[in-house]
Amino acid sequence: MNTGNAILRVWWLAGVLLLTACSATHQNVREDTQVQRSDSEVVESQLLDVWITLFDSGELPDDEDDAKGLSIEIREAEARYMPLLLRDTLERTGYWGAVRVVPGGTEGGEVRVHGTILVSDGEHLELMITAQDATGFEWFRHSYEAEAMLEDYQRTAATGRDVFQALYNTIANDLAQHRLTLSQSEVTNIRRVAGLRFAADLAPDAFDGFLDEKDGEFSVQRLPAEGDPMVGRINAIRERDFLLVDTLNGHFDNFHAEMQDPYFQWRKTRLEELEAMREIERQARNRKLLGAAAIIGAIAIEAMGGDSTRASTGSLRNMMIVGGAYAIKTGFDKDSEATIHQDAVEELGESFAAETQPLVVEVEGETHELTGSAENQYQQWRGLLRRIYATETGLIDAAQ
Amino acid sequence: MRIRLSYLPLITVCISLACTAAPTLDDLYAQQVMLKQAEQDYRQRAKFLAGGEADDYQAYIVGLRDRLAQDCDAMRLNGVALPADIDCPRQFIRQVAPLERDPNKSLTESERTETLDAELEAGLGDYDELLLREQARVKADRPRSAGEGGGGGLAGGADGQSGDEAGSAGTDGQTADASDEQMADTSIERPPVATGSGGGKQTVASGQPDNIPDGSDDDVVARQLRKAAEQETDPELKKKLWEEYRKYKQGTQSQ
Repeated sequence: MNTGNAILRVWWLAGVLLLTACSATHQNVREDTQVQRSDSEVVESQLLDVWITLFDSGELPDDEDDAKGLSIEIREAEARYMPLLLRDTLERTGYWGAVRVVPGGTEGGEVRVHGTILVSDGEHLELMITAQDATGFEWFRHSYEAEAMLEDYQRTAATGRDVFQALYNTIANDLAQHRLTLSQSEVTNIRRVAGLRFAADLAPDAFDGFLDEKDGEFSVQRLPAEGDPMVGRINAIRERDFLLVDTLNGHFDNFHAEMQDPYFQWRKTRLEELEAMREIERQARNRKLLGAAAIIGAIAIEAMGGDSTRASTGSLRNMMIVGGAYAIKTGFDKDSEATIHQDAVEELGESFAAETQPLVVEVEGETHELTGSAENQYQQWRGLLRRIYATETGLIDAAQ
Repeated sequence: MRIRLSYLPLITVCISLACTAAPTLDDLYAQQVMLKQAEQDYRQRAKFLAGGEADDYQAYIVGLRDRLAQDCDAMRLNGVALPADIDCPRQFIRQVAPLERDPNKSLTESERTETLDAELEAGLGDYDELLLREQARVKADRPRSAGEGGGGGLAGGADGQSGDEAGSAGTDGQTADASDEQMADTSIERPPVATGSGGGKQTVASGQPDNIPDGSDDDVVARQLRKAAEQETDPELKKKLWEEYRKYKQGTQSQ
């Protein structure tokens, strides 16, 4: 083997490994999956904050029947609702610090979780979830799929438990599993990187060179000097950043509270209609098949039988033909009934979309308003920190 | 548990009275611990508090902050250099009158930094107010059906299990003393937060005096004081905090 071939093979192998590492794995969620909880309190210095970005609403199914009653408006509402269910699940595990939902594009957080809705129609839910820490290291990229039956909705109606809770439990368990693989120093490093990234964003002059970034991954090069007043200023602003995120979560909570009941009802009623429709379609298909079989049978008797057979089965054949035709007709009638249910599914979707759209618009408006004010404020602070840094370091020109 | 509105004047009076005596560094430390605990506790519980409770709690925090700010001011006026680990609240700095300077005389570097710091602190204070207003708006907008249990969060055990039924796993020894890995003072910090309800028992430090009530009927203020006392490691401060707790409890019981 020459050297060139060997190098090529190594590159090929590396490529395959990379692709394997980057590709998402898929899990069919077991409906009895319980959430794993920490059996003891994690010390504060080892807690990681989790920020869950509002999900991507994904795309509606290409198939017209599958997409019936679904709409992008509903998806947008779900993209805001589902992260809150995941947040609540993670909060109960005891593994994490503050778990918060943040708008897309928000910088910061020690662990970032992002989701895309691949399928959501009340009966099936499939999410693509990515988890990454502040150093830029991707923990995993998994898709999770679960199915709910009408009985699940009936069972969970009184408990307040989401029918797809097992899916959120599975995501929480995967995050916990990864968290458990981290050493204390790795956790400390993630926290430091998160803090320094925040600092570098607000005061790039003062925190230049503290972090090294290579291919999207960050590492700490050095730490601020003891007693550095700039650290105190950054911490004061960071505290406000957390308060801002808390406040946003207040708005998201209100959105969740307003959406919870109608969302549950929509999914349940939609599934009822779909099941009724499927039952009718099954009956219609069976009747048409029976009718067709009767007609075919009658024709076959006529074609294959002798004169005596034809004479003796005349009334039977007539009955089979008439009965078959009637069965086919009732089959078509059943189709009409199914159409009524299809229309009901459509109407339910439209009605639910109309109900949620103002909620989405409202929470989106509040988010924009708040993050907009914050960004203006941060911009002012950036300027101020720059002037302070310039003054402290003697860079008078920059301070003026 | 609801804070009783009738306690508010008592708290305010206590805070005002405390300000009349000359403060010591120990007082500042104790106040700082109480303030931080109160802020942390408020942050954890804010969404579970009813409108009135939240307002009361905010007023309590503002009172603590003002008290600490005024004591900081008093200490400085007395020529006491405040240790670096005492974090005087922002509001205080906003209230400081601008330094009287000869306009013809150029500012020194430290004066200029001081001015810019004051500007930053003022901005932070304004921003705090904005966020408080927004939080009040959030509470006002909370749907009634969300009830006291928080805005829309699922009920406890909604993950399909409750209490001991849940599966658990070890934390790889990370609940042990991790002091060697704790963030250095020089690091960019984030405020301590509550873990989820799945967390284990709270560690209770020893050193609780004998005459302390069991805390089963604590309101938010008492809970705050108790928590601060339990978590304080300095024996002197701990003693003071327990004393404050005991006094407060006595005050509330005599109402």
